[in-house]
Amino acid sequence: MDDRNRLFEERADLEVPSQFGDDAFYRALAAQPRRRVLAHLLSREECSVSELADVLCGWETGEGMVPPERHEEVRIGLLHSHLPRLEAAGLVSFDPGERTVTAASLPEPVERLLEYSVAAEAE
Amino acid sequence: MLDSYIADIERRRTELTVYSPEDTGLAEQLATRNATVEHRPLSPAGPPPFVAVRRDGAFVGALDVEELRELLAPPVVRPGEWEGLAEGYRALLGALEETVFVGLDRRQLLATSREIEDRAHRVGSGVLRVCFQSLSAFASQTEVYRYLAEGSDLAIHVYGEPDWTPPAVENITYHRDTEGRLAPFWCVAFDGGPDESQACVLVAREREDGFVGFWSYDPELVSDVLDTLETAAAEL
Repeated sequence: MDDRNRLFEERADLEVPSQFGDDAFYRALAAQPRRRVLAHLLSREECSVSELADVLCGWETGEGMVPPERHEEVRIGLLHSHLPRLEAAGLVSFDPGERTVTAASLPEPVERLLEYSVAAEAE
Repeated sequence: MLDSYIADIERRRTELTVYSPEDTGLAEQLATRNATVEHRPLSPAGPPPFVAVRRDGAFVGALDVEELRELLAPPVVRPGEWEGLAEGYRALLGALEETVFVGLDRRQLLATSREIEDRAHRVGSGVLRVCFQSLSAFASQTEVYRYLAEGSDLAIHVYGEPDWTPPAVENITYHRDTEGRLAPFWCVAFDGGPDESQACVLVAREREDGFVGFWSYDPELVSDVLDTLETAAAEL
């Protein structure tokens, strides 16, 4: 009880990023590929779209070799759907020219949530 | 004359990107193959360790590190055994295998030639062109080729310097390389008959330190080599 009240009592002093009030932020997280991308960026900070496509495909290698067609599908999904949404929600910055993605600095609760999301997949 | 084919394969690149939290030892395992291995770190909040394979910059496949280790572990899946593999795995193995080998001896070349000959035998039809450097080198293979040729629908063409007169065999045409233009080369090429997925080729050039060359399952490349040899036959 005390722990739950603590946040509301400290609300006046706590600087919570405004994105936490935006549906767009939660919608951005409501897709497994996007959570996986963000989880990878926790340790990589900046990487290429190509590497993100590799990593998303890496999640599927448990079922056997991932072929080129699937990699291309994943890459296009990143470029046209997932990365623009993540950028609109302020979670990454994406340079379409360089095809690089940089992680935004995420609040600790979001990092924790992403780690939970990935850990839940492993079970 | 067949040197340009060897040079072309030499120029091709196979790149493996290994994604794992720690070193997998794959770089050492692949040291004898003409492939570059790059390691990229993977956090625990990521997929299990895996490898992305690229051929000349294009993605060819991704698979589990353990599965790749199994594919590479002896006995390595030899080209003759690829038929049972899914198309995607053949492309992946091609990226790993279709590289230039160096320093092979005649015995090793013979073993690989055997696999192509076995394939031609199983298919039973199509064109098989073989360069033995000299017809006397063919002498020890005569019975093998008689078995291959007689009663089949294969059209077999044997090239070599005419230092020996081979026996006449049904379905075998001999091409006497009097000037020795093909003498440096050991080559076995099969067009696959009705099924181009069965096409395969071995091209090797003898050097002081052994044979250098490649093998390939690319139907277009096989066809090109066969055309080169067909033209050579007309000019011998």
